[in-house]
Amino acid sequence: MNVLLVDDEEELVSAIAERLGLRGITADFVTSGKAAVAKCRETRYDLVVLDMKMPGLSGLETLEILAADHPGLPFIMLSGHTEVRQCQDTGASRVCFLVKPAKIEDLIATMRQLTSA
Amino acid sequence: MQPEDSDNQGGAEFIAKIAASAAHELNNCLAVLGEQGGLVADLAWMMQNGRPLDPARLAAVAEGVKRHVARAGEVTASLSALAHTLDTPRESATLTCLAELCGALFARFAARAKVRLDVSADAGSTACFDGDHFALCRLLFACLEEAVARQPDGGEASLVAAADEGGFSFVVRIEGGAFPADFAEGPEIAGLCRGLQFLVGVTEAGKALKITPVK
Repeated sequence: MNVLLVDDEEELVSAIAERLGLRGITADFVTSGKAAVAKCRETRYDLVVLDMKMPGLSGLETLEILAADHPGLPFIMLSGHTEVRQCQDTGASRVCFLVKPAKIEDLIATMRQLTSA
Repeated sequence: MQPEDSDNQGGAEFIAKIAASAAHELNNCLAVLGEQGGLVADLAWMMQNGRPLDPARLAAVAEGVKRHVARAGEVTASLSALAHTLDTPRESATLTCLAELCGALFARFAARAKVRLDVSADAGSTACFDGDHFALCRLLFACLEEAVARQPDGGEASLVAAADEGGFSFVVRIEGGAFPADFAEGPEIAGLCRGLQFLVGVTEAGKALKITPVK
């Protein structure tokens, strides 16, 4: 599995990327929505993990652009406000919301759920 | 609505804004610390399974932990300082302290707007401010919000505490854009100025706000 992590907290995404790598999941990371849009145009990902609250393009704004550019690409949204874990099918993309910070096991389980659907 | 109700509402909104920002910042610190802890556990597991542990990698994780504990400590310190603006003796805070507190409270807002905020004080601003510290923080914060709203991404804003003969001022200056000439006439700023007995003047061809007590 090849995933892209997007969060303005560089030390957070780099640590998550390293931990996913140790579990056999290839993870690149960028620290802005704008960089995510550019990265997805040069690399094909199986899934994108987005922080909801970022300076510049927010997570939801980035999701809208990426979903339009890459129909069918699934997303995991991380938010400090999400109280209930939930997933939804927007038609063009499947999106799951997780509370931030998410346990690595929950993140991987959600990744597998979204990419196997 | 009575003026006092409006002031209470404004104070509550200010606290809510600061609390939301602090909660977000602390949550990010906890998230980083959680991942760093998880990474150490992963590295330990790998070492148990025969992969050599790189001391430099471990040291880098430890440094990251210390850095984010310090970052979280700064957030709680500024929250505590703001809380105590309401109950500590008014003569106990210097102009410098108040400027630095406002700078710390506003740092995340500036960072989100990609504006570099510089807070400084001249030598004379070790003088104490014996007025309403909480209201002054609100006033300075509102001025900084306006400053950042007028800046393009990558711009610079500054807050300077300055003292001169028998008086003092705070100056909020921006690099790009300009403050509107009628900025001080807005209800929030006008209300805070009335309560504090302060004036906010737009100076330097709109590039600065000078915040001074009424003489």
